[in-house]
Amino acid sequence: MKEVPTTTIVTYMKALHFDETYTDLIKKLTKPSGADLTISEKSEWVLSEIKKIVRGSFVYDRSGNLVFRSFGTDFSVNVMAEGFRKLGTLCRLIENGSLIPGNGAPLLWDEPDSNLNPLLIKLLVETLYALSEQGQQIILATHSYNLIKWFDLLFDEGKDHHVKYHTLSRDNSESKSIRIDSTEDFNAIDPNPILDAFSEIYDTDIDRILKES
Amino acid sequence: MPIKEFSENEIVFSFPEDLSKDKLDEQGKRIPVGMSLADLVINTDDYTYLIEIKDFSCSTASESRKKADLKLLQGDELISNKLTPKARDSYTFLHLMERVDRQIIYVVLLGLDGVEPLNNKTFLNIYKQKLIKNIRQEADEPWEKEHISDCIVCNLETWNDIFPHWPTQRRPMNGAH
Repeated sequence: MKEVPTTTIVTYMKALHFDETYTDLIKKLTKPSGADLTISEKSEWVLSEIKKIVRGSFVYDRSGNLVFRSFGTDFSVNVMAEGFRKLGTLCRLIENGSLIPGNGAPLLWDEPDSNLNPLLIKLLVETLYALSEQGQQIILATHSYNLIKWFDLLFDEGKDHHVKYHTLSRDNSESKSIRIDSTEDFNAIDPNPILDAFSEIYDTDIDRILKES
Repeated sequence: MPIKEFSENEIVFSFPEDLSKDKLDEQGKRIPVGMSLADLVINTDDYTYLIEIKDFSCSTASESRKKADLKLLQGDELISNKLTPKARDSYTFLHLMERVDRQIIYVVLLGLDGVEPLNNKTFLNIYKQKLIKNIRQEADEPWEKEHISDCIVCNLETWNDIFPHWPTQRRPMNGAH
């Protein structure tokens, strides 16, 4: 099956009123790699670690289609596991200079942990810290305890890490407006719906043990 | 109802006097060689509770001792080498004494006051899952019999939520409050 050209996809997406972030991402992903692009040591480390995990990389094939190449075989990017596709996307953005830490726009990433093997989340956070150490501003949205706890555990002031946790929630007023609570201390995140969810699991488990077992 | 206190070092429980309970590993009491038993057995109408207490926050323990104890929580050492054998041996002991006549709930009370990264329901929840998994399968094959119906891992605060009629508190031995 022939791949639909990127320009056509972008045109259709505009006509169908897709969120502009998608079209923006597609444009950046399909940007060719710059031959004279210099990639920093830390970014190279990020690339090599991710490639070890996903066992391949996004490249263009001879027909000009973006494919996932693994051990010499090309696969459609659509057959990749979504978690790997996300990591591959990050690689591609670094490799083609769309993401140059310290020299560009912030990286906005909605739920980077979704569909990712939980055992890979530590690596994901390590790679994000490696990018931030080079001046990359990163803004993430997540519901994952695993992700934010790794940010807490790998936080290193000596490496000039700066993390701020923002919780968005509805307040209790009649207007139910959105309130933002911010802190730099992981243990002070409040309200914390992630911990609330764990508490509910704990409480429900106890109820089940003592009522049903 | 008259109350009787039971203490395990600094952790003090207030139990109704008529509650059926037995301290299995009482000092001076001879126990079968090779067996390692839970601290306390409590029988209610519905369950037999095996209670095991591990205090990581004892006020008289040195900082180095506390750190060494906390190391036990890393990985599976405490679960594999202490908590799981205690559950199995306590069950075996009760079985041989013909005292298994209701479901057994294994309750592990962890004194974690001041150990804030771990003193929360997230950690307790994850630890419980690891413990029950290990209790079910200690060797290549899982036990055929579910000798322990389920387990609860709690800290002092959640113990008081779960068992409000058997309240517990820390009474520091060095007089501090």
